[in-house]
Amino acid sequence: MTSGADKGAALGIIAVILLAMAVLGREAFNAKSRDAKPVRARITEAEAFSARGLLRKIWVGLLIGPISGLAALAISTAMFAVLRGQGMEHSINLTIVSFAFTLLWSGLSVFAGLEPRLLRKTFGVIGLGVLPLAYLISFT
Amino acid sequence: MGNSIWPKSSSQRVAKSLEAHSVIALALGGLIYILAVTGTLSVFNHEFQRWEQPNAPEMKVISPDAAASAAKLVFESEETPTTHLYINFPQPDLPRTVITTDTQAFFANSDGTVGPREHFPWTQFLLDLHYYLHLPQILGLTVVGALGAFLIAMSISGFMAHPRIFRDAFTFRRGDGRVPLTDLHNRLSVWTAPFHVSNALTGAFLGLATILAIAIASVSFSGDFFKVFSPVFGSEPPPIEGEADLAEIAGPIAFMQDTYPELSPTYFILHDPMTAGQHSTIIAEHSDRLIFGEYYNFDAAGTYQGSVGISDGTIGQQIIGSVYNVHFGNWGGLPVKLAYLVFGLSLSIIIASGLRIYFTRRREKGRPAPRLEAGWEAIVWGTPAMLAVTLLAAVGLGVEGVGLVLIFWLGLTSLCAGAIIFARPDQVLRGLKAATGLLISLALLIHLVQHMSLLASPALYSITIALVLLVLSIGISSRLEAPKHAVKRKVPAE
Repeated sequence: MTSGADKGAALGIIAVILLAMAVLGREAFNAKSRDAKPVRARITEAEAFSARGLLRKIWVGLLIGPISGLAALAISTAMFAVLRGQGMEHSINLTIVSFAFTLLWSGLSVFAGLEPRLLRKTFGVIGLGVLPLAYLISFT
Repeated sequence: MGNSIWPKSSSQRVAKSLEAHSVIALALGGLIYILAVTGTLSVFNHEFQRWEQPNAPEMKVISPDAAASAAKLVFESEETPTTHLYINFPQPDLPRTVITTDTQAFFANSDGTVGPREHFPWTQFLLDLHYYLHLPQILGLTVVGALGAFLIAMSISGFMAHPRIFRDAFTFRRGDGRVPLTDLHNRLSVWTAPFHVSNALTGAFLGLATILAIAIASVSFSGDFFKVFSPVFGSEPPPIEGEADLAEIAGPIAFMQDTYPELSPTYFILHDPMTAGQHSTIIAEHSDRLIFGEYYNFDAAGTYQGSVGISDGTIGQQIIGSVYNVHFGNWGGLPVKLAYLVFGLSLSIIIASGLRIYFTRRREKGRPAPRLEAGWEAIVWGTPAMLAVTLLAAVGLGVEGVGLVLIFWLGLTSLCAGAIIFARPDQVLRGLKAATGLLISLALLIHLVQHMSLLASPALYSITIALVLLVLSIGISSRLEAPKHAVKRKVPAE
């Protein structure tokens, strides 16, 4: 009735992680302790308040958080509809889009966080959400 | 950049990745840390349940007739008929039989009589904190799921920000300052990545499933939410009006014992009892699989109708059926739970050390933020301290439910506010660490006095020993040198 292959692989991964952590622990134990380098007495002024800077930070926060999430939700939902139309078996389809939703949200958040140009990250995230949304609206 | 794992790695991209990593950590690190700590403790929720109520009747197995008898007694005691009647069968880590209805839960004795009411307020508080952050259910699940997605985002940006992270996989430097802290953060991040990535992914999967299903249902199934999950978990037939005698309970349990002796039944569920459409399901664990179990269905007469296919159906059913156990680590007994404890603690250390590195870097760059740093230490040690306060309140004062929720969140918020005003990270860390140890010791002492006669019971001693070890380790680590937060130079305001 059961293969057991899934559980065996999981146990193997746990064993490898524990072994690596043990080796790491030994390295840490054997390492020579060194004093920290003296920190240069460098004083910088606090950033001056800027309303534009604050608005930019709020917008980037929205892009990283809820907007990336909504874009990922639109893409995943459209992906499910497309794959369903292609005849993919339901539970496999659901599995793929469930993991894709999380990974897309994570990926878009990282993109929104590291892309330096505000317009590019805005259009990138929103554009990726709007396209599948348009498809879904036409689909329904 | 010849040693980089990333092609064409540039210092600008590394800096931007680090910035994205820091932004997400600063904004959401506190909540993710609370989830990491409570998730680590939740792995042992069965052990905590036993510890909270050590005098409950215990048994390794219960006979089908005794289980059915206790279930009927509880069902007949209900003023308003329950829509579902559950029997939780004894498991190795929770050797108790519990009869649950829509509104209450009682232990069953092995002779089929009904025992005391099930009552584990602190464990329930802990689980609700981890599942929902004490928010309303769907909102809470979604927020927790989203935090799982952000934990993966932090893993991705963290790996992108450290091109040499795999080359330095076994490098560890000891001493003072940022370097050993950075090594600890990076090495644990690399080696426990299979755990924290899979855990975040499965947690997000569980948390975000509801809103994704709502979206899919609205587009592909005319808003019928249940059609999204029924091909995976099976569906309940529509209720059939009309009264009937209570369905057969002992028969299906005996059928499972006789036909599938290698399986371990965890739940019996009677749907719509005493209606014409009543039917039952037994969920049974497959000891060599990651799946949480398989659904075995029976009609009202107790005749086997077939299984749903979680164990041997489509690959999608088997993967989805494995998500819960992979997340909570309850698929391999105590050894796997202990491994999850190590990994969960590692994740908590990774998160705590990550922001400590950020604040140390700020100090080194001449932009210290002692108030924020103290606030972060208040989250890092205030979370276990407030968990210890709630434990003490539940054990010593009988506080439960909303009371525990208020104590935790008001307490943690006050600690953070106080730390930000106080602006002494070192002292906040030491004070809250000591308070955590003292509060756990006090809760432990009170609980032991209350249950002195059960001292030799495994229900009591496993968690008691674990908590004693925890207090000792907190004491030992307090004696070791604490991170240096002291700002030795004159600095401008944050």
